[in-house]
Amino acid sequence: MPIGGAARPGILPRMASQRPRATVPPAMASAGVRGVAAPPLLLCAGLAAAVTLRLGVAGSAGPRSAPAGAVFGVALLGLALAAGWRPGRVSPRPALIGLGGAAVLLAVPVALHLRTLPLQAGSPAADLPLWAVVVTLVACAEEALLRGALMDALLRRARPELAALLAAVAFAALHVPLYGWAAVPLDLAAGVWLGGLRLQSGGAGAPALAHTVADLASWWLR
Amino acid sequence: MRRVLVLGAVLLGAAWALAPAPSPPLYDGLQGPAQAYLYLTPPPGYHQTGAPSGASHALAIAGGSSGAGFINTEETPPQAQVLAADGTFTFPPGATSITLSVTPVAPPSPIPASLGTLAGNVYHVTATANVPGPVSIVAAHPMTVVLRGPVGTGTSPIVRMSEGTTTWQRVTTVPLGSAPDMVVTNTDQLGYFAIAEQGGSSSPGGSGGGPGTASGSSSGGFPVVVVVIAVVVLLAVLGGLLAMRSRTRRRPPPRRRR
Repeated sequence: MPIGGAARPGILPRMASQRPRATVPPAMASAGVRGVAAPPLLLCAGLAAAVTLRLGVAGSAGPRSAPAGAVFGVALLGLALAAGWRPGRVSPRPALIGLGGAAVLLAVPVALHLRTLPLQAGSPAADLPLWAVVVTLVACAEEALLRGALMDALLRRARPELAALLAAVAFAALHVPLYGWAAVPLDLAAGVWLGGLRLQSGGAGAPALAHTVADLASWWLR
Repeated sequence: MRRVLVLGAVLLGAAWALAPAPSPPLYDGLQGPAQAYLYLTPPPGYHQTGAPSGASHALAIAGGSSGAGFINTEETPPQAQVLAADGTFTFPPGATSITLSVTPVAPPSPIPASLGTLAGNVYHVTATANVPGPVSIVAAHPMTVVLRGPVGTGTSPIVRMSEGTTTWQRVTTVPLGSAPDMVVTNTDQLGYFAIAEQGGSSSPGGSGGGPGTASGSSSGGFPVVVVVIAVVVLLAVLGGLLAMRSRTRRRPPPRRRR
Protein backbone atom coordinates (compact mmCIF):
# COMPACT_ATOMS: atom_id res chain seq x y z
CA MET A 1 0.00 0.00 0.00
CA PRO A 2 1.71 3.16 -1.13
CA ILE A 3 0.15 5.56 1.32
CA GLY A 4 -0.34 4.95 4.94
CA GLY A 5 -1.23 7.57 7.48
CA ALA A 6 -1.30 7.99 11.19
CA ALA A 7 -2.33 4.42 11.73
CA ARG A 8 -1.91 4.52 15.48
CA PRO A 9 -4.68 6.62 16.91
CA GLY A 10 -3.72 8.89 19.72
CA ILE A 11 -0.05 9.02 18.89
CA LEU A 12 0.71 12.47 17.58
CA PRO A 13 4.01 13.30 15.96
CA ARG A 14 6.39 15.81 17.39
CA MET A 15 5.01 18.94 15.76
CA ALA A 16 1.51 18.37 16.97
CA SER A 17 2.67 17.44 20.41
CA GLN A 18 4.45 20.80 20.77
CA ARG A 19 1.07 22.44 21.05
CA PRO A 20 -0.69 22.73 24.39
CA ARG A 21 -2.79 19.63 24.95
CA ALA A 22 -5.99 21.58 25.36
CA THR A 23 -5.91 22.63 21.69
CA VAL A 24 -6.06 19.03 20.47
CA PRO A 25 -9.63 17.78 20.77
CA PRO A 26 -10.10 14.06 21.32
CA ALA A 27 -11.93 13.60 18.03
CA MET A 28 -8.95 14.95 16.19
CA ALA A 29 -6.54 12.73 18.00
CA SER A 30 -8.60 9.67 17.28
CA ALA A 31 -8.70 10.61 13.62
CA GLY A 32 -4.94 10.57 13.53
CA VAL A 33 -4.33 14.25 12.95
CA ARG A 34 -0.70 15.00 12.52
CA GLY A 35 1.70 17.52 11.10
CA VAL A 36 1.34 21.25 10.55
CA ALA A 37 -2.10 22.85 10.52
CA ALA A 38 -1.95 24.28 7.02
CA PRO A 39 -4.72 26.75 6.26
CA PRO A 40 -7.45 24.86 4.39
CA LEU A 41 -8.04 27.77 2.03
CA LEU A 42 -4.39 27.80 1.05
CA LEU A 43 -4.58 24.10 0.26
CA CYS A 44 -7.75 24.66 -1.77
CA ALA A 45 -6.01 27.44 -3.71
CA GLY A 46 -3.20 25.04 -4.49
CA LEU A 47 -5.71 22.40 -5.51
CA ALA A 48 -7.43 24.83 -7.88
CA ALA A 49 -4.09 25.77 -9.41
CA ALA A 50 -3.21 22.09 -9.89
CA VAL A 51 -6.55 21.43 -11.61
CA THR A 52 -6.01 24.41 -13.91
CA LEU A 53 -2.53 23.18 -14.71
CA ARG A 54 -3.91 19.74 -15.54
CA LEU A 55 -6.50 21.24 -17.88
CA GLY A 56 -3.86 23.29 -19.61
CA VAL A 57 -1.47 20.39 -20.09
CA ALA A 58 -4.27 18.06 -21.22
CA GLY A 59 -5.58 20.35 -23.93
CA SER A 60 -8.07 18.60 -26.16
CA ALA A 61 -7.16 15.18 -24.72
CA GLY A 62 -9.09 16.07 -21.57
CA PRO A 63 -9.26 13.40 -18.89
CA ARG A 64 -7.43 10.91 -21.14
CA SER A 65 -4.12 12.78 -21.03
CA ALA A 66 -1.55 10.76 -19.10
CA PRO A 67 1.05 13.58 -19.01
CA ALA A 68 -1.56 15.92 -17.55
CA GLY A 69 -2.58 13.30 -15.00
CA ALA A 70 1.03 12.79 -13.98
CA VAL A 71 1.64 16.54 -13.61
CA PHE A 72 -1.53 16.83 -11.56
CA GLY A 73 -0.54 13.94 -9.30
CA VAL A 74 2.94 15.33 -8.69
CA ALA A 75 1.51 18.78 -7.92
CA LEU A 76 -0.95 17.35 -5.39
CA LEU A 77 1.70 15.24 -3.73
CA GLY A 78 3.95 18.29 -3.53
CA LEU A 79 1.18 20.28 -1.86
CA ALA A 80 0.45 17.50 0.62
CA LEU A 81 4.10 17.09 1.55
CA ALA A 82 4.64 20.84 1.81
CA ALA A 83 1.67 20.97 4.17
CA GLY A 84 3.36 18.48 6.44
CA TRP A 85 1.50 15.32 5.50
CA ARG A 86 3.67 12.21 5.59
CA PRO A 87 2.84 8.62 4.68
CA GLY A 88 2.54 6.42 7.71
CA ARG A 89 3.59 2.85 8.27
CA VAL A 90 1.85 0.08 6.41
CA SER A 91 -0.36 -1.95 8.69
CA PRO A 92 -3.09 -4.55 8.16
CA ARG A 93 -6.05 -2.67 9.64
CA PRO A 94 -6.09 0.31 7.23
CA ALA A 95 -5.45 -2.11 4.37
CA LEU A 96 -8.49 -4.18 5.31
CA ILE A 97 -10.62 -1.06 5.74
CA GLY A 98 -9.43 0.17 2.35
CA LEU A 99 -10.25 -3.11 0.64
CA GLY A 100 -13.68 -3.10 2.24
CA GLY A 101 -14.18 0.47 1.09
CA ALA A 102 -13.21 -0.50 -2.43
CA ALA A 103 -15.69 -3.38 -2.37
CA VAL A 104 -18.50 -0.97 -1.51
CA LEU A 105 -17.42 1.49 -4.20
CA LEU A 106 -17.42 -1.29 -6.78
CA ALA A 107 -20.41 -3.38 -5.77
CA VAL A 108 -23.16 -1.46 -7.50
CA PRO A 109 -21.21 -0.53 -10.67
CA VAL A 110 -20.25 -4.19 -11.14
CA ALA A 111 -23.85 -5.29 -10.69
CA LEU A 112 -25.13 -2.64 -13.09
CA HIS A 113 -22.54 -3.46 -15.72
CA LEU A 114 -23.20 -7.16 -15.55
CA ARG A 115 -26.89 -6.46 -16.03
CA THR A 116 -26.63 -3.95 -18.86
CA LEU A 117 -23.35 -4.34 -20.69
CA PRO A 118 -20.48 -6.80 -20.78
CA LEU A 119 -17.32 -5.71 -19.01
CA GLN A 120 -15.34 -3.63 -21.44
CA ALA A 121 -12.03 -4.99 -22.61
CA GLY A 122 -11.73 -3.08 -25.83
CA SER A 123 -8.91 -0.71 -24.98
CA PRO A 124 -5.45 -1.65 -26.21
CA ALA A 125 -3.88 -3.90 -23.57
CA ALA A 126 -0.47 -2.37 -24.21
CA ASP A 127 -1.73 0.91 -22.76
CA LEU A 128 -2.77 -0.66 -19.47
CA PRO A 129 0.55 -0.53 -17.53
CA LEU A 130 1.24 3.18 -18.08
CA TRP A 131 -2.41 4.00 -17.52
CA ALA A 132 -2.41 2.04 -14.27
CA VAL A 133 0.70 3.81 -12.99
CA VAL A 134 -0.74 7.26 -13.66
CA VAL A 135 -4.13 6.32 -12.22
CA THR A 136 -2.48 5.04 -9.05
CA LEU A 137 -0.40 8.20 -8.77
CA VAL A 138 -3.42 10.47 -9.22
CA ALA A 139 -5.62 8.53 -6.79
CA CYS A 140 -2.95 8.38 -4.09
CA ALA A 141 -2.04 12.04 -4.58
CA GLU A 142 -5.67 13.12 -4.29
CA GLU A 143 -6.03 11.16 -1.08
CA ALA A 144 -2.75 12.48 0.32
CA LEU A 145 -3.97 16.02 -0.21
CA LEU A 146 -7.70 15.72 0.51
CA ARG A 147 -8.03 12.99 3.11
CA GLY A 148 -4.48 13.64 4.34
CA ALA A 149 -3.35 17.26 4.49
CA LEU A 150 -6.72 18.97 4.00
CA MET A 151 -8.60 16.80 6.49
CA ASP A 152 -5.74 17.21 8.96
CA ALA A 153 -6.17 20.95 8.67
CA LEU A 154 -9.96 20.80 8.84
CA LEU A 155 -9.99 18.45 11.82
CA ARG A 156 -8.13 21.10 13.81
CA ARG A 157 -10.94 23.53 13.15
CA ALA A 158 -14.12 21.49 12.80
CA ARG A 159 -15.94 18.35 13.82
CA PRO A 160 -14.87 15.18 12.00
CA GLU A 161 -18.20 14.92 10.14
CA LEU A 162 -17.85 18.45 8.79
CA ALA A 163 -14.21 17.90 7.90
CA ALA A 164 -15.10 14.81 5.89
CA LEU A 165 -17.94 16.65 4.16
CA LEU A 166 -15.80 19.65 3.23
CA ALA A 167 -13.07 17.40 1.85
CA ALA A 168 -15.75 15.58 -0.17
CA VAL A 169 -16.98 18.89 -1.59
CA ALA A 170 -13.42 19.73 -2.64
CA PHE A 171 -13.12 16.25 -4.18
CA ALA A 172 -16.32 16.68 -6.20
CA ALA A 173 -15.44 20.22 -7.24
CA LEU A 174 -12.02 19.33 -8.56
CA HIS A 175 -13.57 16.92 -11.07
CA VAL A 176 -16.16 19.32 -12.50
CA PRO A 177 -13.83 20.89 -15.08
CA LEU A 178 -12.95 17.46 -16.47
CA TYR A 179 -16.20 15.55 -16.17
CA GLY A 180 -18.89 18.23 -15.91
CA TRP A 181 -21.57 18.82 -13.30
CA ALA A 182 -23.06 15.40 -13.92
CA ALA A 183 -20.13 13.93 -12.00
CA VAL A 184 -20.90 15.86 -8.81
CA PRO A 185 -23.48 13.57 -7.14
CA LEU A 186 -21.40 10.42 -7.53
CA ASP A 187 -18.11 12.08 -6.65
CA LEU A 188 -19.60 13.87 -3.67
CA ALA A 189 -20.99 10.59 -2.36
CA ALA A 190 -17.71 8.79 -3.00
CA GLY A 191 -15.89 11.65 -1.28
CA VAL A 192 -18.01 11.29 1.85
CA TRP A 193 -17.40 7.55 1.81
CA LEU A 194 -13.65 8.02 1.46
CA GLY A 195 -13.74 10.59 4.26
CA GLY A 196 -15.51 8.04 6.42
CA LEU A 197 -12.77 5.54 5.66
CA ARG A 198 -10.19 8.11 6.71
CA LEU A 199 -11.95 8.75 10.01
CA GLN A 200 -12.46 5.07 10.63
CA SER A 201 -8.88 4.08 9.88
CA GLY A 202 -7.09 7.15 11.22
CA GLY A 203 -5.09 7.88 8.08
CA ALA A 204 -5.15 8.44 4.35
CA GLY A 205 -3.98 4.91 3.55
CA ALA A 206 -7.39 3.24 3.63
CA PRO A 207 -9.13 5.80 1.38
CA ALA A 208 -6.10 5.79 -0.93
CA LEU A 209 -6.34 2.03 -1.33
CA ALA A 210 -10.11 2.10 -1.90
CA HIS A 211 -9.81 5.00 -4.33
CA THR A 212 -6.99 3.38 -6.30
CA VAL A 213 -8.76 0.04 -6.62
CA ALA A 214 -11.98 1.76 -7.75
CA ASP A 215 -10.12 3.82 -10.33
CA LEU A 216 -8.21 0.83 -11.67
CA ALA A 217 -11.48 -1.07 -12.01
CA SER A 218 -12.75 1.63 -14.34
CA TRP A 219 -10.58 0.07 -17.08
CA TRP A 220 -13.28 -2.60 -17.29
CA LEU A 221 -16.22 -0.74 -15.78
CA ARG A 222 -17.13 2.03 -18.19
CA MET B 1 -17.14 8.49 12.83
CA ARG B 2 -19.35 5.64 11.67
CA ARG B 3 -22.07 8.17 10.90
CA VAL B 4 -19.90 9.49 8.06
CA LEU B 5 -19.51 6.01 6.63
CA VAL B 6 -23.24 5.38 6.84
CA LEU B 7 -23.94 8.75 5.22
CA GLY B 8 -21.41 7.96 2.48
CA ALA B 9 -23.03 4.59 1.79
CA VAL B 10 -26.50 6.13 1.62
CA LEU B 11 -25.29 8.89 -0.70
CA LEU B 12 -23.54 6.33 -2.91
CA GLY B 13 -26.76 4.35 -3.19
CA ALA B 14 -28.71 7.48 -4.09
CA ALA B 15 -26.10 8.64 -6.61
CA TRP B 16 -26.06 5.29 -8.36
CA ALA B 17 -29.83 5.17 -8.42
CA LEU B 18 -29.87 8.50 -10.22
CA ALA B 19 -26.80 7.96 -12.42
CA PRO B 20 -27.20 6.61 -15.94
CA ALA B 21 -26.32 2.95 -16.11
CA PRO B 22 -23.66 1.92 -16.53
CA SER B 23 -21.57 4.54 -14.73
CA PRO B 24 -17.95 4.25 -13.63
CA PRO B 25 -17.27 3.65 -9.93
CA LEU B 26 -16.39 7.33 -9.69
CA TYR B 27 -15.57 10.07 -12.13
CA ASP B 28 -11.92 10.40 -11.36
CA GLY B 29 -8.36 9.74 -12.29
CA LEU B 30 -7.56 9.09 -15.87
CA GLN B 31 -10.00 7.81 -18.43
CA GLY B 32 -8.84 4.74 -20.27
CA PRO B 33 -7.46 5.13 -23.74
CA ALA B 34 -9.93 5.14 -26.58
CA GLN B 35 -10.19 2.02 -28.68
CA ALA B 36 -8.89 2.44 -32.21
CA TYR B 37 -11.65 3.25 -34.66
CA LEU B 38 -13.28 0.20 -36.19
CA TYR B 39 -14.32 0.56 -39.83
CA LEU B 40 -16.96 -1.44 -41.57
CA THR B 41 -14.65 -1.26 -44.59
CA PRO B 42 -11.13 -0.45 -43.37
CA PRO B 43 -9.07 1.93 -45.54
CA PRO B 44 -6.19 0.36 -47.47
CA GLY B 45 -3.29 -0.52 -45.18
CA TYR B 46 -5.32 -0.07 -42.02
CA HIS B 47 -5.30 -3.04 -39.68
CA GLN B 48 -7.99 -3.46 -37.09
CA THR B 49 -9.08 -6.18 -34.72
CA GLY B 50 -12.75 -6.94 -34.91
CA ALA B 51 -15.62 -5.21 -36.64
CA PRO B 52 -17.79 -2.28 -35.61
CA SER B 53 -20.83 -3.27 -33.62
CA GLY B 54 -24.45 -2.26 -33.67
CA ALA B 55 -26.91 -2.04 -30.82
CA SER B 56 -30.62 -2.20 -30.20
CA HIS B 57 -32.97 -1.80 -27.27
CA ALA B 58 -36.72 -2.09 -26.80
CA LEU B 59 -38.44 0.98 -25.39
CA ALA B 60 -41.68 0.22 -23.58
CA ILE B 61 -44.80 2.16 -24.44
CA ALA B 62 -46.81 3.16 -21.40
CA GLY B 63 -49.68 5.57 -21.02
CA GLY B 64 -49.72 6.29 -24.72
CA SER B 65 -46.12 7.48 -24.73
CA SER B 66 -42.91 5.83 -25.80
CA GLY B 67 -40.41 5.43 -22.98
CA ALA B 68 -36.96 6.94 -22.69
CA GLY B 69 -33.84 4.95 -23.46
CA PHE B 70 -30.49 4.88 -25.13
CA ILE B 71 -28.29 2.55 -27.11
CA ASN B 72 -24.52 2.40 -27.38
CA THR B 73 -22.35 0.41 -29.71
CA GLU B 74 -19.78 -1.74 -27.89
CA GLU B 75 -16.56 0.09 -28.70
CA THR B 76 -14.73 2.09 -26.02
CA PRO B 77 -15.93 4.81 -26.21
CA PRO B 78 -18.93 3.83 -28.34
CA GLN B 79 -18.73 4.82 -31.99
CA ALA B 80 -22.47 5.51 -32.08
CA GLN B 81 -24.97 6.37 -29.37
CA VAL B 82 -28.66 7.18 -29.73
CA LEU B 83 -30.72 8.68 -26.93
CA ALA B 84 -34.48 9.13 -26.88
CA ALA B 85 -36.52 10.93 -24.26
CA ASP B 86 -40.07 10.14 -23.14
CA GLY B 87 -42.56 10.67 -25.92
CA THR B 88 -40.00 10.83 -28.70
CA PHE B 89 -41.87 8.51 -31.06
CA THR B 90 -45.26 8.28 -32.68
CA PHE B 91 -46.32 4.67 -33.21
CA PRO B 92 -49.15 2.61 -34.66
CA PRO B 93 -52.20 1.75 -32.52
CA GLY B 94 -51.76 -1.37 -30.42
CA ALA B 95 -47.99 -1.10 -30.16
CA THR B 96 -46.52 -1.90 -26.75
CA SER B 97 -42.84 -1.41 -27.53
CA ILE B 98 -40.51 0.23 -30.01
CA THR B 99 -37.14 -1.25 -30.86
CA LEU B 100 -34.49 1.40 -31.33
CA SER B 101 -31.49 0.20 -33.34
CA VAL B 102 -28.23 1.53 -34.70
CA THR B 103 -26.25 -0.47 -37.24
CA PRO B 104 -23.07 0.29 -39.21
CA VAL B 105 -23.91 -0.04 -42.90
CA ALA B 106 -22.39 0.67 -46.27
CA PRO B 107 -23.28 4.16 -47.51
CA PRO B 108 -26.64 3.93 -49.31
CA SER B 109 -25.30 6.56 -51.70
CA PRO B 110 -22.06 8.55 -51.91
CA ILE B 111 -21.79 11.75 -49.93
CA PRO B 112 -21.61 14.77 -52.29
CA ALA B 113 -18.21 16.46 -52.39
CA SER B 114 -19.83 19.70 -51.32
CA LEU B 115 -20.57 18.13 -47.91
CA GLY B 116 -17.05 16.76 -47.44
CA THR B 117 -15.76 13.24 -47.33
CA LEU B 118 -16.97 10.37 -45.24
CA ALA B 119 -14.97 9.98 -42.00
CA GLY B 120 -15.70 6.64 -40.40
CA ASN B 121 -18.80 4.54 -40.81
CA VAL B 122 -22.34 5.30 -41.82
CA TYR B 123 -24.81 4.31 -39.08
CA HIS B 124 -28.42 3.43 -39.83
CA VAL B 125 -30.75 4.46 -37.01
CA THR B 126 -34.14 2.78 -37.05
CA ALA B 127 -37.16 2.53 -34.79
CA THR B 128 -39.74 -0.19 -35.34
CA ALA B 129 -42.88 -0.97 -33.40
CA ASN B 130 -43.86 -4.49 -32.39
CA VAL B 131 -46.94 -4.21 -34.61
CA PRO B 132 -46.96 -3.22 -38.28
CA GLY B 133 -47.10 0.47 -38.97
CA PRO B 134 -44.95 3.56 -39.25
CA VAL B 135 -42.83 4.93 -36.43
CA SER B 136 -41.59 8.51 -36.58
CA ILE B 137 -40.07 11.13 -34.31
CA VAL B 138 -42.18 13.86 -32.75
CA ALA B 139 -40.56 17.10 -33.95
CA ALA B 140 -40.91 18.67 -30.51
CA HIS B 141 -39.01 15.76 -28.89
CA PRO B 142 -35.99 15.17 -31.10
CA MET B 143 -33.71 12.21 -30.66
CA THR B 144 -29.98 12.64 -29.98
CA VAL B 145 -27.32 10.93 -32.06
CA VAL B 146 -23.69 10.88 -30.92
CA LEU B 147 -20.99 9.68 -33.30
CA ARG B 148 -17.30 9.07 -32.69
CA GLY B 149 -15.04 9.38 -35.70
CA PRO B 150 -11.41 8.63 -36.40
CA VAL B 151 -8.81 10.86 -34.74
CA GLY B 152 -9.13 14.48 -35.81
CA THR B 153 -12.82 14.56 -36.59
CA GLY B 154 -13.84 16.31 -33.39
CA THR B 155 -15.24 19.40 -35.08
CA SER B 156 -16.55 17.85 -38.30
CA PRO B 157 -20.28 18.00 -38.93
CA ILE B 158 -22.72 15.14 -39.05
CA VAL B 159 -24.56 14.49 -42.29
CA ARG B 160 -27.88 12.70 -42.49
CA MET B 161 -29.87 10.90 -45.13
CA SER B 162 -33.40 10.78 -43.81
CA GLU B 163 -35.38 7.57 -44.14
CA GLY B 164 -37.18 7.43 -47.47
CA THR B 165 -34.99 10.05 -49.14
CA THR B 166 -31.89 9.79 -51.31
CA THR B 167 -30.02 12.95 -50.47
CA TRP B 168 -27.48 13.70 -47.78
CA GLN B 169 -27.77 16.92 -45.82
CA ARG B 170 -25.63 18.55 -43.18
CA VAL B 171 -27.29 18.86 -39.76
CA THR B 172 -26.52 21.11 -36.82
CA THR B 173 -23.62 19.50 -34.97
CA VAL B 174 -21.71 20.31 -31.82
CA PRO B 175 -18.58 18.67 -30.36
CA LEU B 176 -19.27 16.54 -27.30
CA GLY B 177 -17.52 18.56 -24.62
CA SER B 178 -14.10 17.29 -23.68
CA ALA B 179 -14.52 13.91 -25.41
CA PRO B 180 -12.23 14.00 -28.42
CA ASP B 181 -13.55 13.05 -31.85
CA MET B 182 -17.16 12.83 -30.71
CA VAL B 183 -19.90 15.00 -32.16
CA VAL B 184 -23.58 15.18 -31.41
CA THR B 185 -26.76 16.26 -33.15
CA ASN B 186 -30.45 16.35 -32.36
CA THR B 187 -32.65 14.93 -35.06
CA ASP B 188 -36.35 14.70 -35.82
CA GLN B 189 -35.70 12.18 -38.60
CA LEU B 190 -34.64 8.55 -38.58
CA GLY B 191 -32.19 7.44 -41.26
CA TYR B 192 -28.50 7.30 -41.99
CA PHE B 193 -25.92 9.31 -40.05
CA ALA B 194 -22.21 9.84 -40.64
CA ILE B 195 -19.41 12.31 -39.98
CA ALA B 196 -18.40 14.29 -43.05
CA GLU B 197 -14.88 15.57 -42.81
CA GLN B 198 -14.01 18.96 -44.18
CA GLY B 199 -10.54 19.15 -45.69
CA GLY B 200 -9.25 15.73 -44.65
CA SER B 201 -7.64 16.39 -41.28
CA SER B 202 -8.36 13.04 -39.68
CA SER B 203 -6.08 10.03 -39.56
CA PRO B 204 -7.42 6.54 -39.96
CA GLY B 205 -7.80 4.77 -36.65
CA GLY B 206 -5.40 5.72 -33.92
CA SER B 207 -6.46 5.60 -30.36
CA GLY B 208 -8.17 8.92 -29.74
CA GLY B 209 -5.54 9.91 -27.22
CA GLY B 210 -4.24 6.95 -25.28
CA PRO B 211 -1.71 7.33 -22.50
CA GLY B 212 1.19 7.29 -24.86
CA THR B 213 -0.30 9.53 -27.47
CA ALA B 214 -2.27 12.08 -25.55
CA SER B 215 -1.55 15.69 -26.17
CA GLY B 216 1.02 17.19 -23.88
CA SER B 217 0.61 20.71 -25.08
CA SER B 218 -1.89 23.37 -24.34
CA SER B 219 -3.90 22.62 -27.41
CA GLY B 220 -7.66 22.70 -27.41
CA GLY B 221 -7.88 26.41 -26.91
CA PHE B 222 -6.79 26.57 -23.26
CA PRO B 223 -5.06 29.93 -22.77
CA VAL B 224 -1.36 29.61 -22.05
CA VAL B 225 -1.48 32.63 -19.77
CA VAL B 226 -3.92 30.78 -17.50
CA VAL B 227 -1.50 27.86 -17.27
CA VAL B 228 1.32 30.26 -16.38
CA ILE B 229 -0.83 31.85 -13.68
CA ALA B 230 -1.69 28.38 -12.35
CA VAL B 231 2.00 27.51 -12.12
CA VAL B 232 2.74 30.77 -10.32
CA VAL B 233 -0.10 30.23 -7.86
CA LEU B 234 0.95 26.64 -7.28
CA LEU B 235 4.53 27.66 -6.58
CA ALA B 236 3.35 30.46 -4.30
CA VAL B 237 1.17 28.06 -2.32
CA LEU B 238 4.00 25.55 -2.06
CA GLY B 239 6.33 28.30 -0.91
CA GLY B 240 3.80 29.56 1.59
CA LEU B 241 3.25 26.12 3.06
CA LEU B 242 6.96 25.45 3.34
CA ALA B 243 7.55 28.85 4.94
CA MET B 244 4.81 28.17 7.49
CA ARG B 245 6.34 24.85 8.39
CA SER B 246 9.79 26.39 8.62
CA ARG B 247 8.51 29.10 10.99
CA THR B 248 6.76 26.50 13.12
CA ARG B 249 9.95 24.48 13.37
CA ARG B 250 12.05 27.49 14.42
CA ARG B 251 9.60 28.57 17.11
CA PRO B 252 11.19 27.73 20.50
CA PRO B 253 9.29 25.34 22.72
CA PRO B 254 7.32 27.04 25.49
CA ARG B 255 9.26 27.41 28.76
CA ARG B 256 7.99 25.47 31.68
CA ARG B 257 7.32 27.44 34.85
CA ARG B 258 8.78 26.03 37.97
